[in-house]
Amino acid sequence: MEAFILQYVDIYVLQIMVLIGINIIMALGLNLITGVTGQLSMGHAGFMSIGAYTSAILSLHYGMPFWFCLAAAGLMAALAGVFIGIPTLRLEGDYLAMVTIGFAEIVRVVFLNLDIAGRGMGLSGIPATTNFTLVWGLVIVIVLLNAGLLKSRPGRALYSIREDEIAAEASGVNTTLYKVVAFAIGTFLAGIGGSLYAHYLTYISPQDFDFMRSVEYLNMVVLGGMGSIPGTILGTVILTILPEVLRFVQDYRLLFYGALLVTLMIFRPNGLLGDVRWIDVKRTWARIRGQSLASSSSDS
Amino acid sequence: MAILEIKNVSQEFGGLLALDRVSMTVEKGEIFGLIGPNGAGKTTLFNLITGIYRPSSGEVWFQGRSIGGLRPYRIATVGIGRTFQNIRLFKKLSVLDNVRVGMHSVSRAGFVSAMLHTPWAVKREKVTCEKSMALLKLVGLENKAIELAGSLPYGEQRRLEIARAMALEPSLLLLDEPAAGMNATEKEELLVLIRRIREMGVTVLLVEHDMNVVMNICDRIAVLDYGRKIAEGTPEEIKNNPRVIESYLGVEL
Ligand SMILES: Nc1ncnc2c1ncn2[C@@H]1O[C@H](COP(=O)(O)OP(=O)(O)O)[C@@H](O)[C@H]1O
Ligand SMILES: [Mg+2]
Repeated sequence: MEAFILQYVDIYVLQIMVLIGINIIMALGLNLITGVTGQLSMGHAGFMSIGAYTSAILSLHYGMPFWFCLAAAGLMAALAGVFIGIPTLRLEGDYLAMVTIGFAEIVRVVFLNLDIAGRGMGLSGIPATTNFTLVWGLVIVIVLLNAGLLKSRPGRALYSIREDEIAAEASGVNTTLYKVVAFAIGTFLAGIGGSLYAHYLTYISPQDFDFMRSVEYLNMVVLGGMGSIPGTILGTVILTILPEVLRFVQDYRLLFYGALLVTLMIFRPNGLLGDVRWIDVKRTWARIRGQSLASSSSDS
Repeated sequence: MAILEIKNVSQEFGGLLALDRVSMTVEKGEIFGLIGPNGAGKTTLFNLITGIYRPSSGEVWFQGRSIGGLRPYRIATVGIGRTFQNIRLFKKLSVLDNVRVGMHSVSRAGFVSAMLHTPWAVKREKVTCEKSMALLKLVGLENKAIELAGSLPYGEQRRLEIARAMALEPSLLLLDEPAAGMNATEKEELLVLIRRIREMGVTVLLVEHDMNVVMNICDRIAVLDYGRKIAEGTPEEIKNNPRVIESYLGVEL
């Protein structure tokens, strides 16, 4: 697969394609928590780092096979998610935002001081088991599962929590349980993304998972459209490629992101695809075709 | 037979007694009206019954079991549906999806079967869809199924809330000012709808300011004033009750 793709693009482009895939997995996780269920999480990179370090430590220090490390990474991140999600998500209001910021920071400092995690140096020489085929295979599986979820009973329950929590409860939805499950799945995906990331770059350090990275994932979801899978994918592709294209504004990236989001909020407050529904697209298309049919028949 | 018993219930909000030792019994199959001036505590009573507040004192019994202190979703699941005075629809979901969320406790498909699209989940999904469409038909919104709930005009939003509440197959339906903001024709249709719902075997507890609506369809009425129940009886009795006339109905009736 890699060799086949490399016939058409150079290694640099292939690298970006893999990173896009990893970021899509990350962003779909956050989309489930924040975009679909409406619970603002600002520490997604913290859960990513738990996955990355779990996976790296298990394979470097314990010689575990990659598949085991990948699964363990997802489960550890989800465990951490449930651990902070249960007390936090029961409360009303946006406590989750504060708690997740704090949690991600604590995780970063812990890895910074943990011998087994290589302290500030991080870990290097992680087996390079992540490749294009694996990442995009997982992307496809995750998108399919995610889409199945969102258009069925539990998915609708998650959207209803975002829309109106009191009405959701009055409709029989156990909102606490559903929020925690959404958070567990979302953080599980962050752990998977972290593991793939570690085994792709083969080198990780605490700086890779700082607050700015959490904000970037949030931007991907918001830019694409909260709660929309195609939107999240689009947002992720744009925000993964843009920094590469705009390398010359690297120093001004914060400024750039800020300006982008402000512009977006003015022109498309629901994100690029957030309020686009497939059914509306079909209706509009039918209308356009209807009109062109009508005009062609009146011409004759 | 009593379906809902409210026993000596009080609710306090930081010194303000919104409900003061209120008791009432709703019989199975009736349409029970709850009236009273603004701020009398009608919505507070609904919030108590549906578990949004926990009563400061007193008990709420539904179908022979105490439901005081249960979480709202549990109360919905045991068979109490409600609408809200300030409409609370899932605005960015389709009209159909609003009703389908209402069916949450009736259908059982979980996360795993949903993700994997098992044949069982697909079948459940089809049943949910058909039942939801039937409910939209009941409230006359079957042609709006794919619209966003937030895009509906006011009167239709109120009817959609009723359909969503009916979706959990309740035995008791609480309607909080369903006629508010409706024009005369819509109110007529609403009367027909509420009667149909009763014919379907659902007991109705109705808060409403429009006396035409209330006096027309209620079998019995209770009157709240400053958190206290000041009267209870048939529409005739309530119309002629001097205390009710003085504190609420005024001279025009
Ligand atoms: N959550 C609350 N916190 C404080 N006071 C409240 C709350 N809910 C209602 N109240 C007060 O309780 C009283 C009864 O309100 P409500 O039940 O909404 O009246 P009604 O529905 O009969 O118009 C009002 O004085 C209102 O201000
Ligand atoms: Mg009220």
